[in-house]
Amino acid sequence: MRAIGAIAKNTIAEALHRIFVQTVLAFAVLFIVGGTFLSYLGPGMEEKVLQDLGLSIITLFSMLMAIFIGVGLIQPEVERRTVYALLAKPVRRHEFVLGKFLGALVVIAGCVWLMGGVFVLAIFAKQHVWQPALLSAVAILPLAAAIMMAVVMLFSTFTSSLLSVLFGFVVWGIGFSQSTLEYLGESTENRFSRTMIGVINTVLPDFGNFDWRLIIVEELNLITPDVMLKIIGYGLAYVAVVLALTIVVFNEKQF
Amino acid sequence: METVVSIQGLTKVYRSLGASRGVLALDDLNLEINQGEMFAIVGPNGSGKTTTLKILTGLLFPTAGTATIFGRRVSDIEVKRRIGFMPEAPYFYDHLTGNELLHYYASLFGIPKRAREERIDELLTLVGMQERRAMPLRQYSRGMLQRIGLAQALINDPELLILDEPTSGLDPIGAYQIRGLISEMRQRGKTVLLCSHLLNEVEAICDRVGVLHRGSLLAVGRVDELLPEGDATRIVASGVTEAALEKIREVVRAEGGEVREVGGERGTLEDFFIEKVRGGQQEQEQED
Repeated sequence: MRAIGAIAKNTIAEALHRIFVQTVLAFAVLFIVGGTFLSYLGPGMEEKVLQDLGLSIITLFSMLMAIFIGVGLIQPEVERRTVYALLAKPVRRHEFVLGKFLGALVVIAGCVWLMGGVFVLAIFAKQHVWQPALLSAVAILPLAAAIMMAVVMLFSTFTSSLLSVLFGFVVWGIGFSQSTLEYLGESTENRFSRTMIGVINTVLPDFGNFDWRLIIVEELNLITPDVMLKIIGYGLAYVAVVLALTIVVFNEKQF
Repeated sequence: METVVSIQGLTKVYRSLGASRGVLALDDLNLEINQGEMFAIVGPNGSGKTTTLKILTGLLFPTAGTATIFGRRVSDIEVKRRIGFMPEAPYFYDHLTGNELLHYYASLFGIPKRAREERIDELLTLVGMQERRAMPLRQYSRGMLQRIGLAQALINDPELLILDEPTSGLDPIGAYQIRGLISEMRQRGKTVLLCSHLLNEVEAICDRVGVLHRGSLLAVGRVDELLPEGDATRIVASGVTEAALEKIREVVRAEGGEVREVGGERGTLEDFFIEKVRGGQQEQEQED
């Protein structure tokens, strides 16, 4: 646990020093505040569009952060050979993987919640109404980002940074389109296509679970405690499986 | 004497995807290093030196054979608590200062904060980096990184110090100072295993040497055992006149011998360089 904590702390410090994180955060805040104050829409429409716009921006930037921070967790340590001195210390390989992941997750969660806070404040400043439901939609996003980051981290243990980023974007795209794919699978008569779509939908993460924009904007009362527990359970289980795979691959890695 | 490192039949073959045959980096290496010894593995590039050290530090896995340190498997976390490793051309985290880097590594050993402060202070003084402790590592020169690399390897006061090309890429002054530090480690009772392709350096500081070539150990032993004496005798004397030299020649001839070479003894270029640079530094300090 000690090693995991020390590595996580160093990962947080490293991520906060990265220009990428600072830039993404600054852009996100700028977009949220700018989007909230610069849009001129008809009465009734404005509230929904602003909520949708804000949540979309936060989702977009949290996933971008997850991909680019995730790819920078293991590969650069290997390329710059900093891992040599580190793994010669009393650090088990799984502690290295978990420390890197948890440190990065703290950074992403902090950024997402900061963006969410700014968003809710901006909505309040513009419309003078509190929207606490928005916070729940923001609160769940780090779990989606954790899945994305774990997947990219797994890729980066056996392939290059560039390919890991590309794979990350593919998984992101498919993960947010699972309901469309499911519909395609049901409507096709080709058995092979239906099986393939079924496999893809089962293996790749379903980010639709964490996309509560429509539910919040349309005030649909669909997020019951049961549903929320299922979604959290799904997210944690997915992360655990991907991290376990990452540890298995990393344990076999030679430097 | 206790055996600290024991290597039995160690073999390493690097295989790449699609290649029918691998590259043999180590071939049935057998070696033992005892407590308090300063042992060097020498050999040309690609001889298997770094591969051996990487297996000992758990960065590579052997294809065959075993390696133990303090009688335990090298992957054992208890072994890692008792060793220090400085990789070749060490590189560290850009976002940290020298001081922060040492704190980070010390925290991995669970060294309490107060003891950590004292240890880091002591090490920074030892490697001559006390004044640069707050400087970001990205601004460090090659020599500074090498010194902080040695400091991080000593953070846990290890019983065994493993150093991969500790002076590579350093200027003569830097190399001289690092050699001095390594010698000091032996005086403190540490076992030191280093690899180098700089033979003069190894000869100057090591007790025993293993010569590695294409993954095979060609020779191993004490430096004075490995170097043949030959049939010549070297006499070093001062204040010898030309007449005295002639008398010596006559005596040698009378005894059936032959004087092959007569000349003045000179110091090494390294000694000359260090003396000059130090003199220059002292003059500059006096002017300042």
